[in-house]
Amino acid sequence: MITDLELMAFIDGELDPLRAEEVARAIAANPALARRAARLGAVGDILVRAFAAETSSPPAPALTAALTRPRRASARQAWPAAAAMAAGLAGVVFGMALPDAPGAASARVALADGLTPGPVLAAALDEAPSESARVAGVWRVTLRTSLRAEDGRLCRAFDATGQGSTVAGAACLEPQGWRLVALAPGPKAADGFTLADGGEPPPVAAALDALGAQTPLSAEAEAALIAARWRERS
Amino acid sequence: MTPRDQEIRERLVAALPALRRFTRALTRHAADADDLAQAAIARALDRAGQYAPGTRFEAWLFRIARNLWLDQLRRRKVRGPAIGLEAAEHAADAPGAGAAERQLLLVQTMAAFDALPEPQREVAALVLLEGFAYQEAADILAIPLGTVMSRLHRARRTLAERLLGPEADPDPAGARPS
Repeated sequence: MITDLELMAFIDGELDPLRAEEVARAIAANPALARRAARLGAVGDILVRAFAAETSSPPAPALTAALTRPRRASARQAWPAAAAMAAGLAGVVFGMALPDAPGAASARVALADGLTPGPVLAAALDEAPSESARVAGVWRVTLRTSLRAEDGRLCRAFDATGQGSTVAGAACLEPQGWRLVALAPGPKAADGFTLADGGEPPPVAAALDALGAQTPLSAEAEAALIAARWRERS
Repeated sequence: MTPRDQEIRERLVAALPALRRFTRALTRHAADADDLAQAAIARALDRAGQYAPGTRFEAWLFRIARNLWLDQLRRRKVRGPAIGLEAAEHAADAPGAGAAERQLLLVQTMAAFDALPEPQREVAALVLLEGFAYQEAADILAIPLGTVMSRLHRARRTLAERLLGPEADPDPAGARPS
């Protein structure tokens, strides 16, 4: 008597040699058992081929970039740290000694064009409706607006608090995914970013201005884009 | 960069195809799979010191990826399969030959795999795709060996029925469903 589980273990090479030999003899002597073994074995082969094809596309650029990126102090600090370093603003590493005076922030404009957001921010950009917050670990990312820039790109403004500090920024959607177009430290805030007149902090406002004429997205349009993972029907 | 960092990087590059398969199996979505793989690589680099030399590198890496995935699952509601079974079955009716048929089989296979419950997907990915021994899969997933076997068996039966059709001539004397 050979159970299905034993037959499977035989196919996967998990039986001890003695029992494996008995099963092999039984398969040779019994065509129905051989068919059953072939079916179980074929599933693995089909899966291997399907996954090979499914993952044959080149990895996302951010994925290969992750392999060459300098090692960071902590994964959670990935995106602001990378953004600050890339912008040549070594002092503006999120979570480290940000200036207390709000005025000092504007002097440290981090126009960080062409930067990839980290996983926490990327997930919030993908999934959070405007005026809602996403919490991940110590981070709280709040999406402010979604808009279409003059050049047609979809962009979102956000701010993020964590470790007693705040940054604000904007990201636009490129073929490869979200790219930061602005990232600036904001004033220290206990809960969320307090925006005067409901506007962005000056550095981010300046970056958004640079995008040219903007059309804000309606809540419905934004919800549809979130549902479609920001893939537009063309 | 320390020699240790360099070694981990080289191993990560070598393990990248396997990591992408595994994250695709977990997330059921190509873009999510690369996101998860990227996060796993970042964490693996941050924790390079925790890898025990001499142990199987992929097992360590997959544990990291899976923990990140479980964190994500706890945080958010996950999308359904990228391609539903119905869509795949409908596509199978379309005429086609050669490359088109292979594409159909690919779509059908991924849809059938994605329709499996998560516990079966991860076991099937580890054993069938990556060739881990049952005991290694049990260690990675922190579940008993018997659970690995029963989940793998259920996954295989379901996939065989969906991809190969019903069993033509079951022989009760030769093998019993267990």
